[in-house]
Amino acid sequence: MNVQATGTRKLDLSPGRAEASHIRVENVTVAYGAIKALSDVSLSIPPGRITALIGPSGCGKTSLLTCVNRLIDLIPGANASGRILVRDTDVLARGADLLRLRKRVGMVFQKPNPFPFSIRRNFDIVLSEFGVRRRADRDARIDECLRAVGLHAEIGHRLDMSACALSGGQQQRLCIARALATRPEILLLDEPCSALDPMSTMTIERLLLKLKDSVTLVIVTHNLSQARRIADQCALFWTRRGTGYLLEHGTMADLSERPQNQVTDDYLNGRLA
Amino acid sequence: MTSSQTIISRPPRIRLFRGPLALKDAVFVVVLWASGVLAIGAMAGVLIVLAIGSAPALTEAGLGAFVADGDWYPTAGEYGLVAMVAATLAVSAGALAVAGPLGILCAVYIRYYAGDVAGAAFRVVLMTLAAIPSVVYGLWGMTVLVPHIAAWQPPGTSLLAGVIVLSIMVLPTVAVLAEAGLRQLPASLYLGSLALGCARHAAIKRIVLSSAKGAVAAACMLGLARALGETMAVLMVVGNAVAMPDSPFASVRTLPANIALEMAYAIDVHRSALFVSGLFLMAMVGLLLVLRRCWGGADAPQS
Repeated sequence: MNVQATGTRKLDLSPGRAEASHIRVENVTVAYGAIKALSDVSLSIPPGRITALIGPSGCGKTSLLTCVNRLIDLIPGANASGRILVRDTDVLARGADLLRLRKRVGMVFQKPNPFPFSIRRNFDIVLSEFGVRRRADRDARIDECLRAVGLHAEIGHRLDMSACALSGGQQQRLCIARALATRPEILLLDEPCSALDPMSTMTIERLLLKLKDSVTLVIVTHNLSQARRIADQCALFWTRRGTGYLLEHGTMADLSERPQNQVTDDYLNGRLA
Repeated sequence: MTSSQTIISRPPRIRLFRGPLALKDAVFVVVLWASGVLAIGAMAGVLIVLAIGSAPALTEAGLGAFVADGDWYPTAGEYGLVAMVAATLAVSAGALAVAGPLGILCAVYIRYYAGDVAGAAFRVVLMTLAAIPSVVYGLWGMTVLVPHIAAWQPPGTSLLAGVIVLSIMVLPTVAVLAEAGLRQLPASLYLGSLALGCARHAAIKRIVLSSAKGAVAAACMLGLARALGETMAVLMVVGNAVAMPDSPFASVRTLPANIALEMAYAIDVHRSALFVSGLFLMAMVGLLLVLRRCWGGADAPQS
């Protein structure tokens, strides 16, 4: 799939394609210098679903997430080994095309990070990088993305105001919309609601449930009830002597009702951490 | 402004002399207040000395003479400063035109492209450049640069030589300040733009640098202010003939050089006219600060 083909793909993919995994993590180990942060993780993430990465702080969830779009390359001393297959491309491979990868795999950060320009320019920069040049095309795409995150009614008529003047929840939804502007097939979310109030959190959760028809979502969250509310699949990470590892994964019901480990049972039922 | 930005409220009024802690606070406040007054006092002092010094010339010849006279023969009643104002502006603007973009590129290189070792080494080089005394730059310009220009376009001592020497001197100022401005930006801006699939150069050009516009403009303004006031290095390479800067190879004289060159022997109205040169120079720097306030925006980068 080349960039152009991705560019013309419609936002709404037909849901439930018969593929076992969209992202396939195979024996991934992440180290920061001499410190191993994540050890030998293998995990399959199905398409068109919400997969939640849960577990206590410092067990490598975010590290794994940033491996998928190779943002981890920007952390000095970080080194990831193993394979992560997005469809059939190994994104951890040496010669991987990072620009194309990051257009296929969007990311939303813990703290909303709108660019300190107008709302329109937040999109324009991304769209021009993406080769959408005509104003009408851009406006149509902005419209589409704002509608997808339910911001259209709120700010659709005020695209020239500064993105930084929006409320925290609106900023985060704008960031999601901006990430959708490249029509990614995967959206990585790193605790997207941890800086938001409960109302904005609910709005974003509803939004994610709506989005999963068209995009595969991987969300890191510390909020177990959030994982229960939205996740189709959960991966519980734990640490052993400072190194994170995948303890158990499955549906949230599997994990809480039929846990394979005592730790899983205790953690999910609030008796730990 | 993001929502997470903390709003710093005014601290409660300090009640003086209530226990040992309040006393310490009070002493601290007095020290702060005193240093503020000292800074303002120094500034006022300079202005007062300049004003008193220029008074005789201004009453004798009038401010108009300094603007309207075609030439500078202060002992013969010709007080024209316009050529020197123009030369000062030309040398400084030329230096900024070279050092501004270069300095910004240096800052971007250090911040986003150089590794830890290369970045640190580069920063040391810039600091060293900034620390070299201006007379040494002048010496280099005089003995190396000017002969080269002379071989091409005699006499060599020229506006161009001044611009080149000043560019090298202003470069570290712009680079170090712009780099500090870039470092103030939240990392999420750069990471966020890369995560969106922007190429590194695009992220820097379109997102990082536009976000740091205020800090970068401030860096350039301070570089320009440094260039306007630089005396010795410029004096040594520009030839110091009072003339409008009509060619890059023309010999010119700047306002600071004018004062340095003639103060040693000037008396009476001539001496006072040199104070007026100083006043003009102050006015130019002041105007620069006002301009920066008007369209340079805030010095602090946006959160």
